[in-house]
Amino acid sequence: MSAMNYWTRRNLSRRGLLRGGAVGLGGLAGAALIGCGGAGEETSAPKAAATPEVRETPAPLAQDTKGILSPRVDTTANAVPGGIVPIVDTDATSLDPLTSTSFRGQFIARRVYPQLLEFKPGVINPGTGEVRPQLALSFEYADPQRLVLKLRKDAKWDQREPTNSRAVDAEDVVWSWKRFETQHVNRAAVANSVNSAAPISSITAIDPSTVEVKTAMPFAPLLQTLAYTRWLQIMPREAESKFDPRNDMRGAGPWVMTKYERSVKFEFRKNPNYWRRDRPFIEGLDFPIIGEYAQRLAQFRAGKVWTSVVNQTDVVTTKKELADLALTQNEFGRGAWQIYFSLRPGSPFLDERVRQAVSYSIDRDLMIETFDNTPEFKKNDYPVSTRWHGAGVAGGYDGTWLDPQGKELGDAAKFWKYNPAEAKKLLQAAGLQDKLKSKLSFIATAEYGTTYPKVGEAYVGMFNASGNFQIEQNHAEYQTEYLQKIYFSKGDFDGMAWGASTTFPVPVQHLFDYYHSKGSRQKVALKGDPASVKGTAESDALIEKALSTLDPKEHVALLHRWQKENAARFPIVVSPWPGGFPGFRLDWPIVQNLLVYRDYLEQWEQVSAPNWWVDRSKPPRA
Amino acid sequence: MGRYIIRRLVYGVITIWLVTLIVFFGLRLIVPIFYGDAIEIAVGLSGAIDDKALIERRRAELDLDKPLPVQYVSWLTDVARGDLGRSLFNGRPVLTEIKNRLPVSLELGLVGLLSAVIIAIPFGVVAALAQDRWPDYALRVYAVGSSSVPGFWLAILIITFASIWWRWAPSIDFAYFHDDPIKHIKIMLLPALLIGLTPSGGLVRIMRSQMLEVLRQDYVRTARAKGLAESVVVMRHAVRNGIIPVITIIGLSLPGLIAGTPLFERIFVLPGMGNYLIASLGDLDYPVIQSTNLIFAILIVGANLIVDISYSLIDPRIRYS
Repeated sequence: MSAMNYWTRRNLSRRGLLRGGAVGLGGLAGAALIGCGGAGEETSAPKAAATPEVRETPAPLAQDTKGILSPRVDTTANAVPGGIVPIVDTDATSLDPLTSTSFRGQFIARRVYPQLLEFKPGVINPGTGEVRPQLALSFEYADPQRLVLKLRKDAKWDQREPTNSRAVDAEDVVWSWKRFETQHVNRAAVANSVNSAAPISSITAIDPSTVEVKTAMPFAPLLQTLAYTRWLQIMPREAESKFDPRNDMRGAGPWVMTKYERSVKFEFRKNPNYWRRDRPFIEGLDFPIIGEYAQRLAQFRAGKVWTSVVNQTDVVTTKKELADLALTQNEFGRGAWQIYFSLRPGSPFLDERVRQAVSYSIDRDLMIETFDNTPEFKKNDYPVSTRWHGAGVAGGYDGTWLDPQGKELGDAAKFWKYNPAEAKKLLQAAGLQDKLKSKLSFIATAEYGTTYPKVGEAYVGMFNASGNFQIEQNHAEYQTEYLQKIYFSKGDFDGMAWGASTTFPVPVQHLFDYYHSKGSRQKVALKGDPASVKGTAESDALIEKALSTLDPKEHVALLHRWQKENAARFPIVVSPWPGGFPGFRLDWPIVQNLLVYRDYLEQWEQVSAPNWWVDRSKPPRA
Repeated sequence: MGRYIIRRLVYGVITIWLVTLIVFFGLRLIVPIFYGDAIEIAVGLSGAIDDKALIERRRAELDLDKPLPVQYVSWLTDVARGDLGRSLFNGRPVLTEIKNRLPVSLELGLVGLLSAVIIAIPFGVVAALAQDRWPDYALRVYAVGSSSVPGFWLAILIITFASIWWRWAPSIDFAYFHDDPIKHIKIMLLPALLIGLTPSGGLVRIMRSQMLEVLRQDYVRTARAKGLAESVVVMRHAVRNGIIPVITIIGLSLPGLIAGTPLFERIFVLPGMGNYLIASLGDLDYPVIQSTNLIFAILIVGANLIVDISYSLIDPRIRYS
């Protein structure tokens, strides 16, 4: 449906959505579009293990009938060693992945520190979420609650002091686990000693090259948990006292950090001790730390940084200006950003009819058109596909996601359609004869990107324009108010809130964290009491069952069941933006294989970048 | 004069001490009423706000569990010894960071101020001498325009259009002067000039109005009546007197310019004090906030003192008692 149809058909137009603070869209939130391709490992890699949540056939994207997209071609056979690839980055407070309070520290550290397991990258096609060994050479379940991993013998720590090329051993894994268990900010999601609902009860060394992971219960996403870069990165035990891991790194992965000038740049060079002797092709990665988008874009246009920094709103014009740029399409998002509700006693949102009315009042297509710039892409013949995120599961989880525009959610699917008249009936049935007066809290600053606050304003405008609500916007300060008093408050706040979500490797982890009464970010039970909201106890039981079901088909069937049973409840209303449109990216073709080896989740430095190579015959030429 | 300076120094020290007191206790007593302390905020960022054991452990590791007066005396004693403490979150010595960053911000501020002065004084003098003629109109348009356009906005425009039209972007690979002077100047020149642009507009207007006032004074008329050359009248009698209020503003602008550099540091990727302070404010990194505020307080008090003393050097009629 074109934008013009919306303008003529609806009172609320794209222009209307943008009114009230939008003088051009600043850009999409980078957090919504994660990773940049994955890599393939390839010949020497052990066989990937079966996992509980293997994607089924990905839903096809719109066809590129005009040949606009650049082909993804594996040019490894022509690879020439050498070259430094410049990529824009942001800084972190601390580089220690196990004690840092921000995920930025973990993102930077993953360039250097290995993990026991990793997600297998897709080659040409997207990754499927399969897990394979990384620092481990192999793994097997001794029983449903014991996973035994053999470590690779050719893994060595950094050749510099104090690790001096020492072999990585099981004691390093155990030391890292203990550091994680006692100091990691997300330890409650993983360590059973901290949270009885968390899976891992111990990690012990059986011999110098074998470790055993014990879980407190059969736990389906255990492999994904070990592969998730935000959690258990493996550090050398010298980090205890022989170097300061907050400011320096000694890893065993493909890169070593050779320079770090705070708020200016990081430099990484290939690790001579890396176990894959034929990788990386390039000499290193330079990361200038650039906070300002205009500067990032200028550096990219000038060919001083080579990989994508271009916001969706600037893609078409930048590609027109610089025809040499490679244009590729991203994947649908796996982050289900959300509108969530006050669960305090007396809150009108405890009544599911009110939450359904909220969902009825969202024009999802209009939100996607407005904030993903799809009319502009269509006008220029870009292949445009869109999806609506479903009941708790984002559209990027092919195979698990149930399409609210399809038939699988049954009668509940009607609540996804824009229908203010039905919303009014529901509110009246809930005893609200007048407009529902409430507020929507969100941050006005750019922690989630510059588009996010405009989306918040659009929600306020959309709810009020429906005639059923009288919503005021509350701009909460990010660190001190939004995160502490709203996002992590477990429903103990006023009104509604609009916010981002963390992307987990598998949907059941997302469901546990956000929809289970013991989840760390849960929004479904006031202060963790499942009796505070109708239906939460039943939902908890189903999530727990899915978590402990190791059979992949049964596991996915349980997640489908959860979505169907909870579709009409709307404990959280998932926002159509971001991720309902995959978006496009622009890169300089000098970096070959950039988007051929496709990272599944936040591991591109380890699984993709080692396969890149610099082709000096391609633009931008020096 | 000597007694005056000593008295001002004593007042300055008291002012700086009060600043440390307000910042230290404000951070620990007032901010937590609304938001929580540094550890709660840091841990809360990742959702572990309920993990009381982790919070207590972090507090103990950083000595934040001790009584506040003990913490304050300990910090002040360390400062007196030249130790400004370490960042709560990455353990870096604050003094080392400030040593690396302050020169960058000072240089940006000073060169910016210098460029503002180099532009403003001749522009103001010319505008006054050509009052109500086209050079005056043109320079007044410049003065109002440059005061109205924020320098950082102009910086973004320059960067954006230069990259579109000429595929050019400023170098962001920062180099210190002692490592590579040419590269350093190339990197610093554009932001410094842009920093000076906005204050130059105000200075032009002040210089112009001062000159207009001075040029109407009796002693200027007398100087002309004596048959002195116009250049001597202007330079020796008018400019020297007209510049006094400008010097006051220039002196007082310096700390403001240094404190106002964060946007430019962010846009041009410069490792200055502004970026450092802003990052630490978000984290409530106590030692960094306390020490950077201390440095800014010293700069402002020092600049005020220097301005006051410079009066007497420029205008011998001014005497202190």
